[in-house]
Amino acid sequence: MFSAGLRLELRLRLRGGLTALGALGFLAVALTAVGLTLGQFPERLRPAGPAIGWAMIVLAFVYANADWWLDQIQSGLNQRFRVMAADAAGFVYGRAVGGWLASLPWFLIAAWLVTLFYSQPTSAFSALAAGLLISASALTALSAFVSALRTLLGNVGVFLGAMALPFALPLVVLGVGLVDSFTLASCAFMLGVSLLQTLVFIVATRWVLSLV
Amino acid sequence: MRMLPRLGTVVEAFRVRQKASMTHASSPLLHADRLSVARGDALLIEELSFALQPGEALHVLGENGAGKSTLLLALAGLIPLASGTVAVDRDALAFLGHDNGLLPDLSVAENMALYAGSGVVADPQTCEALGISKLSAKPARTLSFGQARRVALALTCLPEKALWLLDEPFAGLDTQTAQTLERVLAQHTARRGAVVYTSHERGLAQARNLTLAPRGDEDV
Repeated sequence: MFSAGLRLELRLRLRGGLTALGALGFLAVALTAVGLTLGQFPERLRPAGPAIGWAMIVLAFVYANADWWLDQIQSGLNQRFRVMAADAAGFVYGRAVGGWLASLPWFLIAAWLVTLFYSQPTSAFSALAAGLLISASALTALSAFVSALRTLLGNVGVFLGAMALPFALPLVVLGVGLVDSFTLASCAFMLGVSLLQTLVFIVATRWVLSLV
Repeated sequence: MRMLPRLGTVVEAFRVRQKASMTHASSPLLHADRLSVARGDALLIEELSFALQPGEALHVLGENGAGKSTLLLALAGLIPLASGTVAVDRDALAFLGHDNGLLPDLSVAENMALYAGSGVVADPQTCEALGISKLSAKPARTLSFGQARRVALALTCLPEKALWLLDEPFAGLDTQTAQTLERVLAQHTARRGAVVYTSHERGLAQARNLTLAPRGDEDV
């Protein structure tokens, strides 16, 4: 069932390429808008780039994944699998891992966009990409948690991102720090935080859904 | 007991008493004992007791909001019970709720393959009776409501599952398909299976009625 969920998610993500393009489009527009606002002060823009980029990437990723967990959580598929399937939990976790795998290339493109828009050096791209890939599982779990909150609270619309950003703040701070000091120790520390957050968000998601 | 109110929602609490009892016999497929179920702050079903023997069909009736779907969800173990017990073999359950449980981005054949991968393999005879083969290449999102319901029914009415819980199975079906479904349900009870279903449209001739009525009325 785990592999069935995994294969299904990868297949759906491949077919839903437009969703990823939409998220990247949102990211590009947001980065451009911020860049235009600060454009006359390039000396301010350059150091702020990674932080702004991280925040925008988190927003875009959560928006792009906003409906994914709702589809899994609220659908009759979920109900019927819980009653009839051999291993419904394995199926859900398979889909979660599929979503995580599908997010990896997305994050690489996002890191490249941030580097390009804010004229960052190549080393910044490496640091951003590494930070995003390390954080991918936590950000995927975060999007699940936000979707669960959305299920509980109803349609919260534009507040979706507002709910997500505070939870992503530790990763944003560490990710920006990674651009300044890209060391193995920093990466290892960030990986630890990411894995911890992943577990916390999975548990929190299950708890929120139990209240629905 | 999880009766936390939904945030942002004001729910007017009202109480509906549902009591029923049925003749008990040995080894029922389903036995609900003093079952109470709440949705939000509203206690929709209170101390409902009944048993369902092999070969029986139970037609759950009641006006909108009486708790028919809630009862099926509770019997399926999908929502918590406020009190009471439901004795049922979970491995013998098949469930169809309001949502057909099809992924819209997949074709009918792909949806059926997905279910098959999880051990839910549709019965070829039922598929043929419900005319599924003609739909197999269609993306689920392009199906009409009745067509999607037929696919969902084919994925629910599995002979190896002894107890079928069906919420409005006749909804959206044309007359001919509805008659076919009646035959499928009758065949299931004939081979010692059992069916619990809700319906406003029609029902099985041999089914017993369980009417859920608000304000404490009951009729079994």
